[in-house]
Amino acid sequence: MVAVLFRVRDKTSADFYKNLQCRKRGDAVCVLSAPETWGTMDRQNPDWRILVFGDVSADEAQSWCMPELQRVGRPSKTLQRNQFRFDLDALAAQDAGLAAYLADDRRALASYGVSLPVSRMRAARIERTPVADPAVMGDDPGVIG
Amino acid sequence: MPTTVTSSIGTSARTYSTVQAWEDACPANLVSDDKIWRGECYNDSEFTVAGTVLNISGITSDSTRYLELTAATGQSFVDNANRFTDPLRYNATNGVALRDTTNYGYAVTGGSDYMRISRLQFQGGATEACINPSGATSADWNQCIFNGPGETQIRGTNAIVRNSLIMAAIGSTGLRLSYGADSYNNTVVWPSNVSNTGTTGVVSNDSGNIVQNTGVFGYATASSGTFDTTNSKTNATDLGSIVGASGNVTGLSYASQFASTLTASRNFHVQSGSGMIGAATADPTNAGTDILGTSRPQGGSWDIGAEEYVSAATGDVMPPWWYTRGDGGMQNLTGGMTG
Repeated sequence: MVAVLFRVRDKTSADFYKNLQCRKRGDAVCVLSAPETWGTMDRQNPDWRILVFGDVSADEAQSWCMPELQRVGRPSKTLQRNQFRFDLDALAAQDAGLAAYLADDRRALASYGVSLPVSRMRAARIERTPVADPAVMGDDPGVIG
Repeated sequence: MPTTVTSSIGTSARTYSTVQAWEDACPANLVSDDKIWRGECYNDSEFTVAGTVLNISGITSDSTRYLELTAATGQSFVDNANRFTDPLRYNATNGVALRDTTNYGYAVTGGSDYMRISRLQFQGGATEACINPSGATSADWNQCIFNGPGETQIRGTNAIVRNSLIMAAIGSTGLRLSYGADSYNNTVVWPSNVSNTGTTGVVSNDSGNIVQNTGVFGYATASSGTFDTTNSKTNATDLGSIVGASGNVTGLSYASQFASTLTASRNFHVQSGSGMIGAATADPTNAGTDILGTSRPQGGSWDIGAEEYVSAATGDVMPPWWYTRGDGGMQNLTGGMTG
């Protein structure tokens, strides 16, 4: 059993590059293995939800928190905070309890046990598309606009 | 006047359970929010993650509105009751510690301008650097233990690492300074029973880095790169040379400086007679308090390295096995006397 803290509301920055480093809805923040020892704000912050998975390993869940990795030829200034995001709305469409939990900003429930098959969970994991640097013209990052 | 938002980090009784959640909760713009975002870690258990423990990123900050991570009072190795008697090394029992349990990853990566990190212990993944921060301007790393296993990297214009113990046992470098980062009063060591072929204690990755009052021991080369050779000074090493325009102490016996330099029994408490004692440049700005909370100087002169040596005769800060007699002298519980 593993519990994952997700963002359900975008964190944004007015700075283009810093904004890419702010987590968005569906981004995993951190992972705790059972027994859960979440702090008070972990259980109350309306920007977050805690989802508990029975058949996901801690290592797999931790991999969801990874930052976007630098690719050959891409400028590192536009790397995004998380390489993957979860389509929480797609998951909620398959689980009415999850939909209610995600919609409840008062967080009456501190966490929610996801009963969906892990295959559906993995199907909702989306790899982020690399973001082009507006200061770079063309495909060659060595050419500065 | 900024508002300081202080949060506790630990287990279920605390505000946040992980340092990463605390960081994510930080406003994206501390300047417009006019806040100092301060996290106080509790040593409820070691902060371990199967990957990078803390990634700091996306935060706008300045010199008066910044992010600060430290250990709560009584939760750090710095104020642990046994700090003078227990070996000076990474020990999660004695204070808050952040450790990556995998092969790849760091204790800390990323960064935010003007961030302050203090009173914590760090260990990176088994084959990686200890910390791998980004270029955060004026970042301040103070009173920390960096336990490798690879190099400790400090990056950023005017970023500093000070009063800290830095050990590496894999790779080729102890402390790597980049983008104008500086080192003040650190102890940079490589275990004496681990092959040090090709290793360098302190590397200037770019140029202009200041190294002052820093002891470098156990490496094949003490320092390399393009340092600020005018302002670097009063460093110490067991080798024949180290960066520094004046006041360097070279050719010291590594084994004689510390209680133990071996991997398993390592203990980097400074020993009586060390050549680092009294050989430093006075620096109240960066080194007024040493790695264990002892005020500098002791005995009238400043010491090189993370720890300021406290002799029995000084009597200012005494290890717990001494107490003050009624006549003002010091009594050693094992029988010795002075004063």
